[in-house]
Amino acid sequence: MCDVVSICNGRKKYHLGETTVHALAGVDLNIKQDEFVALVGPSGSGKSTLLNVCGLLDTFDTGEYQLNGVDVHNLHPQQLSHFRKENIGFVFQSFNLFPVMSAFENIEYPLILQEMPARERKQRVTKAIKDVGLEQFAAHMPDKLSGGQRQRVAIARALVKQPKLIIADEPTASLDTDTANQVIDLMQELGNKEGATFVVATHDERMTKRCKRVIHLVDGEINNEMA
Amino acid sequence: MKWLKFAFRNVLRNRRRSLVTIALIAVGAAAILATQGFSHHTNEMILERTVNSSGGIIVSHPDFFERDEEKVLEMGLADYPSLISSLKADSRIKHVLPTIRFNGMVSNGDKTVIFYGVAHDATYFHREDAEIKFVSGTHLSMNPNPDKESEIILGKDLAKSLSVSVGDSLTLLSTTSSGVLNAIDFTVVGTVDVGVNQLNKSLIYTHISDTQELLDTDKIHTLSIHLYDFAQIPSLLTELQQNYPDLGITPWSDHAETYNKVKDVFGSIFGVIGVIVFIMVAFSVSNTMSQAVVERTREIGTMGALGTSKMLIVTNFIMEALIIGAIGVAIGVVLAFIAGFGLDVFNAQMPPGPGFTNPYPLRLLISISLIIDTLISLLIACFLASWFAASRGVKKPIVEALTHV
Repeated sequence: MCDVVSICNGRKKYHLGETTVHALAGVDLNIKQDEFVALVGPSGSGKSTLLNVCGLLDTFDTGEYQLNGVDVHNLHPQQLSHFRKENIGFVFQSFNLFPVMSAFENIEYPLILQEMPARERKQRVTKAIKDVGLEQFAAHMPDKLSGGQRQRVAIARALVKQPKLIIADEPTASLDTDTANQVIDLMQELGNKEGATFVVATHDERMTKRCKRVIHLVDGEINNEMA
Repeated sequence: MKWLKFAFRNVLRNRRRSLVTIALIAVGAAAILATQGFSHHTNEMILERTVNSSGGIIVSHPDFFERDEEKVLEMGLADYPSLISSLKADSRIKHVLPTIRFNGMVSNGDKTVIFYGVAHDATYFHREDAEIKFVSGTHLSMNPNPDKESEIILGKDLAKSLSVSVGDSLTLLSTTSSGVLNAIDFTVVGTVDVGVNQLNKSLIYTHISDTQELLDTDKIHTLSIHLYDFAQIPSLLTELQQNYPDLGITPWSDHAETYNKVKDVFGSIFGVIGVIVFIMVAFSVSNTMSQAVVERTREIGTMGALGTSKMLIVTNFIMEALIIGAIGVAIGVVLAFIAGFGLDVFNAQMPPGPGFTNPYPLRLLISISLIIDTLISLLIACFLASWFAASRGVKKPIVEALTHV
């Protein structure tokens, strides 16, 4: 399997007043296709920064980053935006669904951005919404859905464009145990089915227990890995 | 269409705020339409009256409007009857009316005052569309009796000043074309209110033939060409200028000082109102969209994360503003028409302007082009305001936007 994510000596620092915070202090990371990887660590360990960089929402100050074989470190913002549109799906802790769009439309959104023809779009969204078990809720607006249902919609939205990489930031943090377990099952099942690579930042033990690979970050460095 | 649908739903998200903005735009649009509609109506009314009075095209000596005469009718038209015949052959021309403008003294025997005289062919008074407001008496006769005294119409205040009424005699004194004083007796056949204080105190109307006798001339000053259709003025003007290169042939607008001044004044006043409304709408929409942008910062971050271009995000906000603007203008148009209808029903009148004596109808002339102009200008305000607000909103880094609370 080839590497979807390949990071070499990734460094990132922030300035908080006169203090310099090394959010990432030389990270080396390779993630292969189909892997389901959890990033764990205490607050301030750099996992969110690493996740943001992996998702092309942020960039390293120095270091190399190849995403699916493409050197993305030197891409300018418009190219990064285009790359995200085509290759990366996102699942957020607070679901981040668009409140003026129905479940169907939320899932359809990335395909509209890709300017996919309407008929193909409809087929893809119908399949995705069926995969997450929300066929009956397709026309519901987000505020009429439960937390678990919203996260399922978010997962379907992330997967519908068949991305190489899915970035999930605390996807189970806002869910009760049963729902969280269902969401984890769904992510793993669909990840395997679609051949997508998941990188998940989490504090949730329910999640880490079920990940084959767990990366611990401490003070901006990879402290250890469990596989 | 999808984007438009989402934009429309976003407009409905904060209904109260959208309604307030729409209401403000509606009032602004109605204000522009009402003021511009009033201005257009007044301009049209003055235009119609001016063209009705002076004709659409004026034929004169080439220098008549350029310099003052040293002698009476020095720059008059001599062989005008043949010119009238020739012009009347054109089917577009309704009337060709000769005019002499003169002045002198008018006396009732006891009192003598200065007058400003306008001599017309009697047809001028007998036209079906002649707008002359008689206070007493009637028009000059179409076929005056040569055995009777010459006829005269006076401005109402001049008649009052001379203590004369219909049937009384007056003597007009003026200088002839050869510089000699001449006098002729006239009988008052009517008094008129021309709507302007100064003219009511000095104006007299007389027959061309009587005036020529008084001035000892066979010339006239101008020929007023009245057309069946105003719209044909420019084409006929060009033709006449080509056919009669030795004559001064000018459009009515060159001599319509009142019309041009009123148009300029209204243009300035209502232009300022338009600018104020434009700024008001721009600020209101900017405020609304800025609030929307702040409230939806996380949503903007999500859109950006999913690969939505900044331009598309800004475009979505602009669409929302344009929807608000279009709905506001549509309601404004309805309000303006209701206001116009109300003014018609209640026959609202404007008080006379300074120096004028008659009130005039307060009406709104709201044309399609005025509505389109208003729509476009307010949509431009909405566009600029929302573009400004949204452009600032999308500058925030996606990571920061996603964590916005």
